Amino acid sequence: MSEARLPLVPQKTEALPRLGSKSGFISWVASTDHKQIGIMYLLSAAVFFVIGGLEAALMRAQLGTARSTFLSPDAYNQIFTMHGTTMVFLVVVPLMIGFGVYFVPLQIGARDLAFPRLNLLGFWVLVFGGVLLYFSFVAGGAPNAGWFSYAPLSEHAYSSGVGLDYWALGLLAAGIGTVIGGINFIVTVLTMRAPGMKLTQVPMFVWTSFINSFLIILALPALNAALVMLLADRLLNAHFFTPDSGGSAVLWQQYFWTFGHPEVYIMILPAWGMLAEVIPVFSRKPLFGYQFFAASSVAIAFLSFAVYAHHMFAVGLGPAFDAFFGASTELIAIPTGVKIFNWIATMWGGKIRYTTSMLFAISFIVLFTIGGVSGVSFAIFPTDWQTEDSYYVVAHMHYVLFGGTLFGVLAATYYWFPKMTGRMLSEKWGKWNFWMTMIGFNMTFMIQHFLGLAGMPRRVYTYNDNPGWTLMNLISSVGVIFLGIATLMFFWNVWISWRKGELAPDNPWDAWTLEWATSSPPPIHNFDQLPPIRSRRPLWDLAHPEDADYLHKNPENQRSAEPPRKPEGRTADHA
Amino acid sequence: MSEMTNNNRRNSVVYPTLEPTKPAMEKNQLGMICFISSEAIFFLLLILAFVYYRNDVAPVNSPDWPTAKNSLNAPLTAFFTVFLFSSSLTIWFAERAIHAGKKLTACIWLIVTVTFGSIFIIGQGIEYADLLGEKNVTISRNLFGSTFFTMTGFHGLHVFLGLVAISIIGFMILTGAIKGKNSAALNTISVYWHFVDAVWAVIFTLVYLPLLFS
Amino acid sequence: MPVFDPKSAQAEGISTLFLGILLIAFLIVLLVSGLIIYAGIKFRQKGDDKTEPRQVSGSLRMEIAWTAAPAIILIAVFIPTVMVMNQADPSIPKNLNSQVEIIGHQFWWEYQLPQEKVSLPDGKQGPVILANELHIPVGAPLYAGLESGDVNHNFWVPQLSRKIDLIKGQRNHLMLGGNVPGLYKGACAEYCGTQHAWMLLSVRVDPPDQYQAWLQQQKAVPAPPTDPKLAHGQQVFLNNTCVNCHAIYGTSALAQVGPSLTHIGGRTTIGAGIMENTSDNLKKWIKNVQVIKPGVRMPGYNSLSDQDLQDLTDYLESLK
Repeated sequence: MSEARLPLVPQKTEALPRLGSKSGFISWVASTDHKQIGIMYLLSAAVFFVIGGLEAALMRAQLGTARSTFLSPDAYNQIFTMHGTTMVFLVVVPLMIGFGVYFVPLQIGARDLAFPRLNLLGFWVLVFGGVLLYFSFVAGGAPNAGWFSYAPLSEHAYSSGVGLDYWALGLLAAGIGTVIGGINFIVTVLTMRAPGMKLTQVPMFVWTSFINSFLIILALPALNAALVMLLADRLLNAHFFTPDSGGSAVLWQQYFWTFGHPEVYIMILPAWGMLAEVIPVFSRKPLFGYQFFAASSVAIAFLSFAVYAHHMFAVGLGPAFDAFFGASTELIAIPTGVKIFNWIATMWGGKIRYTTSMLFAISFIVLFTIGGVSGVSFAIFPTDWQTEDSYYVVAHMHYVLFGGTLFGVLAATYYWFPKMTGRMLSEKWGKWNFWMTMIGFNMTFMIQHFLGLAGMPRRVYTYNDNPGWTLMNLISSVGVIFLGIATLMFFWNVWISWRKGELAPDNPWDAWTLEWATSSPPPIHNFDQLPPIRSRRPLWDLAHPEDADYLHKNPENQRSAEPPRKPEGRTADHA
Repeated sequence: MSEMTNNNRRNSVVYPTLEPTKPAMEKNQLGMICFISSEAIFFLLLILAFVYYRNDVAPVNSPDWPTAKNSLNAPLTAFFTVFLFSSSLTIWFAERAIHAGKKLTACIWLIVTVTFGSIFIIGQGIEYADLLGEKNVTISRNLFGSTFFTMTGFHGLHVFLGLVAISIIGFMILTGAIKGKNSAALNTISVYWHFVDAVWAVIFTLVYLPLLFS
Repeated sequence: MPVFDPKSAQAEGISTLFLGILLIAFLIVLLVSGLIIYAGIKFRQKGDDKTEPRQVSGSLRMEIAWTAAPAIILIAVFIPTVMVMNQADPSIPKNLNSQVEIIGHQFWWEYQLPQEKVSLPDGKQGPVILANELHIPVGAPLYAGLESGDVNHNFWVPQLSRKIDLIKGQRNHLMLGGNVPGLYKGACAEYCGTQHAWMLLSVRVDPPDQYQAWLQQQKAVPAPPTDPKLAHGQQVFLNNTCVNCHAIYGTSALAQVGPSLTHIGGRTTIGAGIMENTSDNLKKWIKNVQVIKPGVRMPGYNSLSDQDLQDLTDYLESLK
């Protein structure tokens, strides 16, 4: 948005951190500018996504036919371990953090994150963890005990190679890097908001990143503690998880899932926030039920620590244990449902613009709902006793993490790319990208529900041709081809649009949050001036002073769906 | 793009001045609090492992099976613990001195803090030497060894890092690199130091206290 | 779909509950996608309409409604959940002794029938030890105890029972039964290492008389071979390192590291389901086990002469 229209409150300028203004190649190493680091996060996640995706493609190639000998069992086991570990720790989490690093300061009108240098450190520690993990391939074999590395299989007696040592050390580093990022977000949101911006007025993406950070700083140390103990076992012959010398194989599972289930929400919370940015803008209405959306995120964050043992219903921990964690897990469906209905209610009565970003966002809702209801069949623990560790889980989890998180990331990318690069992503390629992803995704993963119900366990490198198995596996594998094409289209779109795409105006979508109140891409100090912040949508207020959000006297600028009580109740169809 | 461009209402609306939001807390201290909450979970799990395995039974024919009871010298550790707890007090004195503008006094208190902390570390060294030497209690001996050394080892590491940081800050105050009556660096490290003490309080209560009273 | 084709009371309960859950799930997905499609069409931007819609941003009543409705559904679902839990995983009387012991190994299944004894030639008694293929009588379920010999495994025969982990250091329990005679397949459902894929389960539910016949056969000790070729085969077995891991009742081989071979000739598969049990396959297995099932804890016996190998497989196949 140019100076002709906007800003009324000059932003207080501060001295830039010394490293912030590096330019050229060195800026990709040493810049402390959150925007640059954000893009570095996204690019490194993209690199690891390609690697993890190729690993997935190899797995599906192996599983396309029964008793295939395309991959050796050892190769397959290493690849599925690396696929899971990569996607969780080096793709999804960095994507969530990367968008946060770029947009949280912009959305709250801040200069940068609270600790710019720490931000850079966190990024490089994370990347170092990733490099360490992949170094295992040349150091004597990748880890092959799964991303969960259950003891005692992960112990020295059963996995004597160095792969698991690299796995544990790499995750330790990645975990520390992630915690650094989490601390930075919390402090930033609490201390760096623009003048006038209350915590109840920050955009929902900031809220979800904020809540997410609490999950990060409280869940990741559980993994780090478990990894430290595993390393003590492996390298110093300690006995934490070795049943042969009194240790407990179940304790590892308890510790791992204490981290592992909050991790699941770490991987989706910011994506929910992304949707809560995209859907309102393209429906031309504010997010429905802001407080309920934020509160449901808080509820999920709390609950996520009380449900971890639903990964352990087959462990045989007893009926009381199962019933407690089954009930607590079911509870999570309630706040999740609140989100889904709030998104739909946001669309309701709007004037929906079908951009690529919006298409991804809408399909997110449907795919995530499918993943959500199949998730309930794990909370109902008797059905979990059939579905756990079968392909049904694989299907469920990909509906949540691919159909959910990754679709959210794609929606966010199409939405925020103009701000980050100053150029629009091609809508033509975008639509192709969208449909190809939809077809490929559903083809690959929908059928896997049925494979699981047909009795196929997960993490097997091959299988007997039981009735229907080969056909279903083949369909799933063919779907990957579509996903591969879709990925190529996406990267082509990014490449070509970044270089010579249509120039983006400051606020191409007529959006309402602060990141759109500066140039595209923003200057290194983010804002010359800020609009006054008196509601959740400062740019709406600016453009519609006669119907500004803050003029509505309801608590926290709440506008109700119920008909106005008094005749002078405002209607917004003012233009 | 659309109507926002057309509606240039900039001059027609008067916005009242907005009060700047006051941050709830100084950001370094807030960051440290986040960090120690994270660390607290880390230690919680290490401590829980100790508690979980504390009743680990010896195999039938091993009379010299190490346990907390037959391996640890609780009164000696209690003696060294007094120094660690006192150092929490002395770092607080240092903070007070800084606020009062007495830099030299602050430095002296920091030196006392580092000395006390070092005495604790030395005490831990003596304890380890005793265990690893004659008693042959090691991390690989049994579950008591595994859990005890992992838990106290990580705590010792945190004490050591704290001592390094306090020394640096003391040095900076002395040379004038830290000015003014309110040192965020000192306040922040002080939060960390209290946390390290608190963790030891838990470990001491769980591991040594029962031995003192039995 | 085996999950929805239950053949025991335990699996039946889960199946019924699951179908109910899936129906509810389907209705929810239908509702959500219906609402989205309706909203997506009805509220789409028409033409070049640049006006803004009414800026509604919330409704307490609706929030309460869509918080309460799922809560009610979940409470309604939780009641049958607990009922099915008791059916699929009944509590086991304290003083009941197990009828089957299931022990998971990398990468095969060991079964012991502790209440049945084999009388060995030297006058001692041994337990009935089986590998990979289990028979159970139709009707009342057996009480099974499960534990792992090494890493975590999971016992999963979808048509017969719930899934349950086998963990070293933690004994688990299961009621294992079937209503309808037949062969039911399953697989290890907890990743357990290189050959997790080939750790298949095979449980045959037999009518009472067939079960008794099978049981008697398992309790019988094979007679020493009289045919000189078979006797030579037995010598090959006893003179090689086979005896370090495998047991054959009636001989001096009593090791319990690998699967018992006492009745290997009567099994339908070898290698925990990787191939059919034929003389040719068994030969290939002994010679090149690390090619057929790499990672398994048995070396290949490439150096055996053709004659020795032939006699050895003939001998093993004769152990019905």
